[in-house]
Amino acid sequence: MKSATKKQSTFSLQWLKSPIVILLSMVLAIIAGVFFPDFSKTLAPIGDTYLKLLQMTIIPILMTALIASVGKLCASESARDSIFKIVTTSLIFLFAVSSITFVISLVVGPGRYLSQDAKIMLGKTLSAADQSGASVGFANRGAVEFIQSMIPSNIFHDLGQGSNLSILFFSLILGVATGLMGGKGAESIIDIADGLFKAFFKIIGWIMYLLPFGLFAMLANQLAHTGSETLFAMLRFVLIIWGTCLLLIVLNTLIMSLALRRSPHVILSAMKDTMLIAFGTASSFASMPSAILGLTGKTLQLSPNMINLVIPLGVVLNRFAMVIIYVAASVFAAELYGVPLHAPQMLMVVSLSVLAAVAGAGAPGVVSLTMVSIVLLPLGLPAQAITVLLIAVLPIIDPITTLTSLYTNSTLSALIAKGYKNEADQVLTSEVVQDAG
Amino acid sequence: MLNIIRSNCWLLLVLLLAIPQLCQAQDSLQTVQEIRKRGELRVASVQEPLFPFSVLKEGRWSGYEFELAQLVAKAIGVKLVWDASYQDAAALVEALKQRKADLVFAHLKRDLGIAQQVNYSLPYIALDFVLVTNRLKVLEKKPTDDTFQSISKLPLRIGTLNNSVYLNKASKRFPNAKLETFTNIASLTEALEAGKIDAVFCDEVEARNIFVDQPERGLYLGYFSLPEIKSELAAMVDWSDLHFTAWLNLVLEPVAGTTSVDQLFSKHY
Repeated sequence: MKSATKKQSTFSLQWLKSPIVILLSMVLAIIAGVFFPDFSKTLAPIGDTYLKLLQMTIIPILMTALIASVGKLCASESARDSIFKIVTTSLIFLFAVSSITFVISLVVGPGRYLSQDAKIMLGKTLSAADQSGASVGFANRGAVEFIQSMIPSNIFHDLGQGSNLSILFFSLILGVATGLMGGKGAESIIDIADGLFKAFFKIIGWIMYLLPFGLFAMLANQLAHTGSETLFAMLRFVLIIWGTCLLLIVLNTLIMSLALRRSPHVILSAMKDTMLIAFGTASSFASMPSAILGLTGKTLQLSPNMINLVIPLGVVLNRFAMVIIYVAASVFAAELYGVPLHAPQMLMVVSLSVLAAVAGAGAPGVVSLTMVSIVLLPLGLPAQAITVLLIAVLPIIDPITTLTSLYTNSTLSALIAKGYKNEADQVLTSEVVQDAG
Repeated sequence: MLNIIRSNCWLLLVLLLAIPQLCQAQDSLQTVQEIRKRGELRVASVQEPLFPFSVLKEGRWSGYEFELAQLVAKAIGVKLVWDASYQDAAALVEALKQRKADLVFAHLKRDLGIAQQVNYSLPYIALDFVLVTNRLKVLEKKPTDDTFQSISKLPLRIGTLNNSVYLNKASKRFPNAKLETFTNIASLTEALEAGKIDAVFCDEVEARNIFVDQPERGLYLGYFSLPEIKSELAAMVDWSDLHFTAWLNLVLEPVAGTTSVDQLFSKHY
């Protein structure tokens, strides 16, 4: 009798997770954000609360997923092959995304045909930032600083600070040590990490019931803060970003479809929640659990061990969103200031954008934008001015670039995880899917 | 008799020296009375208006300094005669000496050299100095980044007005720079846009005037405020008008330093 009541109650809330309800909440958010901006801004606390709920589980999931998956990987014989596969596939994807964005930017020309009104608007934006002293500083990091920022002097301090890069590094090292240690002790650590991982996924499952409300509040607030004047002035730039992202989503779907031998419809259906959360929250970290769930779920059934390793690594290191923004911004700046891009400069844009994106790993959004200076300064382009303009359009491009970044990481993970399966995986898949509802 | 003269020679010397001063003090006491008697306060300024201090629109003057001059005229109870026919600071000093003007409001910075010839009132506004850069030109010098900290150390070609206040402050703040002097802000801006100089050193009002009518310049020209280098604007009075200066300070005291540059731009633009 009790069991029947429980089932009835779960069933009654299930509609909150349906795609129609989630899409409806997004449509309502767009209407509210565009037509009722003042009301939408009052929704900010609701959106922030939901984002905090999602973020609450991110670091534990990141740590437990990495410790368990790396531990298992290192205990297996195929560890070296897997690491090689992860590194090479990641680099191929990063350069592919950079090149595709560069070609599109060069063809469409984000800074070409700027009207006088647009120039006045951009000039005003820059002068206002300069005169208020709000121009951004730079967070450029050399190789030594990057390595130092990766190593936590006190892991508990870094956990408290949410320093993703150092937490990632620590978890990887702990996973490797656990895997190489072997024996009962290692098994216990991996079991505990696995258990905690599943518990956090159960929490994520509960939080997903609130997704339509969270999405509505976050998206409406984000749209309400978007300045229409800056959007008008940088319309071509914004359209290039959106166009490139949509093309990459299509390409990723086709790649996954071919690699996993499933129809694009099945792929999109399995990843729809991930895409909606990424778009609505504009946070790769907040969407990470959903991506793991989508890829290891009963539809795609990819190896949890490999997915649990590659998705967190990708979210921290393979920052495709930043690659897209840096490349498009570099072409925009070159056209705006009349600096020609010949073959060596083109090569610099493509490769330095990848380097800048990886070097900015762990840095928060706005700080990451300042890393565009790694690409612009060698080209003789004013990085500070372009960063100010990027910050101004970030609310418009952030949702789609986050979605694309996470989706590309999902494709990358799917390619690596394809064909990697063992007995432990099979058990984990069914348990995780069941637990997350 | 000779002994009396000898014993009081110091007193006589002091009296002889004090006579001209006492006469001038008497003149000074009479300045306000004279203005009242004349029925008009003659305020001198420079020909070239500087927004928002002096603004000439459809033949009528307005602006912050014009308003201050009106305030002084009102306090005396006379009408204001605004004479903006002077070329530069030297011509204005001469006008005061020759009693062609009672007072000067011409966005002039307090300067030790000029202070030897005139009296300054209380400063009515303090302005920050600014470095306006040609964004692309400074990058040709290969700074580590385009923040002010990096740019300020470069051997820049900095243009500034031919004025000792500007030259002294610029040479102290940018010891590695090569300073070039220009006669006005328009010629400085032209040289900056043409890339003949890398940056312009001027006050914040002059800097904002570069952008105010052509905001698209913000794309190509950077603006770095230097709040640690300030200069104060004050009215000028003839050096002998001690009483008038003190009286003028009493009039200006309630308004001095109460208005920011932001407020002035938004009020008058």
